[in-house]
Amino acid sequence: MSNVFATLGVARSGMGVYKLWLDAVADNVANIDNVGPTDAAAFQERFVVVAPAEDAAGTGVGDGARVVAVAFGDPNGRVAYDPNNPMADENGMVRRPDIDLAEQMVYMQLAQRGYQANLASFERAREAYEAALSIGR
Amino acid sequence: MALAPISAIRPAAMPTPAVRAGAPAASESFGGTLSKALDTVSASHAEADRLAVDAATGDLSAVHDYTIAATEAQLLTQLTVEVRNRAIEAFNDIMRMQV
Repeated sequence: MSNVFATLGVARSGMGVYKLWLDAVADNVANIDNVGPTDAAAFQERFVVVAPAEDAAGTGVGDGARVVAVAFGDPNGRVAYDPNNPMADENGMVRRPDIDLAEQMVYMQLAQRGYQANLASFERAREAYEAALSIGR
Repeated sequence: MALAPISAIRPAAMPTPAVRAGAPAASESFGGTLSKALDTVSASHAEADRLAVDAATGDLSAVHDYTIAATEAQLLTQLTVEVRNRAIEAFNDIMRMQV
């Protein structure tokens, strides 16, 4: 986007990153109780890998953040004893994803606050630009 | 004791806008520059419109993508209009000049 309103683009990239993190956390929470047979992989926790975006304009300040990859947690999950489950093997064991709900709630809070922080810098930049546009009016 | 004589006041260095890097070539007319700026504004409005269509059809991946594009288009329009207004103001001032 245009260089004149660079902060808007930077804040936008941050919002994109935190939005994807929220998506990942929501996915983890949605699949947290999945139960599968022990001979199949459990649901793997989703992690968002973020890196600073390239400084295309060469200002030295940077162009915000970007998601470079999505990493996955342990496919072994947790093997639990649940003999009444139709998925259970001959020993009565099933495989559950290795995801901690409390941890996910903390991540969700962090992602939400991060999104809000980027929104705040966007709003602040917009106010500043509008003030600059009204100079001398 | 000998006192040093007061030296002449040197004028402050004035920036010369013509030699600044990145400034448009002197030969370029104001109309041409404004036209280029309007192209940028038009492109940013087209982007905002495309995202609005995406929102309507359910293809939008993030809400902020549209709202930020719309804000950018709005700010760019304001900037261009402001430049045009100032230019016309300056032109009118010159036209009203007594000769």
